[in-house]
Amino acid sequence: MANLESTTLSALLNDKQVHIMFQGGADSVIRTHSDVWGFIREYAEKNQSVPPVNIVKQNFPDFDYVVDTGSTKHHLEELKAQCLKDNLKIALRNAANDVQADKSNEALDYLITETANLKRMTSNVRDVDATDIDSALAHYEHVKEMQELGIHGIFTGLEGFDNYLPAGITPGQLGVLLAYPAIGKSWMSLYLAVQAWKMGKSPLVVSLEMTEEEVRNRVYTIMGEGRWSHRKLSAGEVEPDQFKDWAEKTFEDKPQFNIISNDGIGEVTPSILRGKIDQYGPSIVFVDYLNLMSSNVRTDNEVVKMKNLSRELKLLAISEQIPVVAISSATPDDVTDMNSVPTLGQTSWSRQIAYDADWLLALGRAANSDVIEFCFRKNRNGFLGEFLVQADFDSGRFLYRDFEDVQM
Amino acid sequence: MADRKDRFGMLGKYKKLSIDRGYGDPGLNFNKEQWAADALLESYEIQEISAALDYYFKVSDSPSWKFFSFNCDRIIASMKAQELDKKQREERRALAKEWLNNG
Repeated sequence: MANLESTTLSALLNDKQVHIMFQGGADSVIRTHSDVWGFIREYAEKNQSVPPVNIVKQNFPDFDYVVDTGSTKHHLEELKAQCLKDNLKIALRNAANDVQADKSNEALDYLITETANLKRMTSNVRDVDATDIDSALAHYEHVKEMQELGIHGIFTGLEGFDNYLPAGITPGQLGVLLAYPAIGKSWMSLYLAVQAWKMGKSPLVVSLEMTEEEVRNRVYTIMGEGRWSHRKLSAGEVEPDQFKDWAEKTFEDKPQFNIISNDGIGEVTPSILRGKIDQYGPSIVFVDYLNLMSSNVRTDNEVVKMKNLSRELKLLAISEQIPVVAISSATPDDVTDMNSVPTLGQTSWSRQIAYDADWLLALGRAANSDVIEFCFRKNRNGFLGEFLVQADFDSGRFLYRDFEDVQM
Repeated sequence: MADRKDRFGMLGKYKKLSIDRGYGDPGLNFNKEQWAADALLESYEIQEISAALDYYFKVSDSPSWKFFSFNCDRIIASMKAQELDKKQREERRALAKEWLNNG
């Protein structure tokens, strides 16, 4: 009796719609008939046509060909649904076994990774016809409406940044902050997070470098706009009533501001991040910093890890329709001027993140200077502009400066 | 072979920069090190090496003549890349201003 896979392949041989199979990711759902599908795919790639039934039957006498079928699309969708159901059952069963064996953390990690893989398997390639004017106009109308409602791009309040990203930080974007060590990358990402929060967006900050309390101190310092000294907050020198009064006023009617960090032992991967996104539903995600994160596919090779990670974060941003801003360190060599702004080629371990990013903002700061130079090294949606920010890390104030105002 | 004046001049500049930047007298044996200086002068213009020396003392935390003479090609390449980037950024800043004003 024909099963779903043989029916789908028979439907393909009948209606010859091989592009449906390619677009629908048939490779990941055909398991028992992968040899037959492999033959048809190779034939189609070589000859630009689907092989006749008799050739397939000659090569695979056991193949159970069905004459009367529906469309390939219909059967492929059925097959994907069946595959999803089977894989979900296996994942749940394995996770349940782990839970029974008192391995709850492993079960959770496994479930997050597996469900992320399943989501990827069942997703479709999105396409658009550039000559379809109605579709384009509808899209622009939608973007305009979203902008007017303040729910599309995220603006930072920094004139330079907002000028060069005219639509703000938009959903699906992967942004990168790149700098040598101790320039102010983490502070800057938190500044952007706080600005997003002030606009009514809910940021999610993944801090793998500092504890959540340390990050929170910085967040309060920036939110306070000079009211709190970071040094004093870190030392616990805060008047409880004064703080409570400020916090109640500041946080009233404001969205959540979630900070997550690992315990120093566990690994944070894009799959786990996807789980956190599903849990908190943030409007923007900040990853501090990339080199401390692990990729979904485990590897000991740091270059391969960074390549995987970059791709996984980009796909995460697209599939979740959320902007992801990642911090990456730049690698200087022994003849690099550390007072300069790093270039794309100095991205540590792999340049893949620079290739995948929609925008890459490099930061540089001269020794003992409080002025940070910002330079867009890549920008898919605007100009490769530059601007300066005068930073007071203790009071959490960041002021936009024009190049003409500051003697460099 | 490069001029003796140039060979010793380069070593003299290294010594002066080392003292001026607070690293102290490098204690170079000019008679011995002049041959390393000669090799550099055979490969690069004296002005280029002089600029590389200034750049090297700007970027290095612990300068050494040996490192400079062995890695002068990398130092010059890095210096040139930075100069080019600076020039391109200045051009882009002007273009960006124009772009924003027209915008």
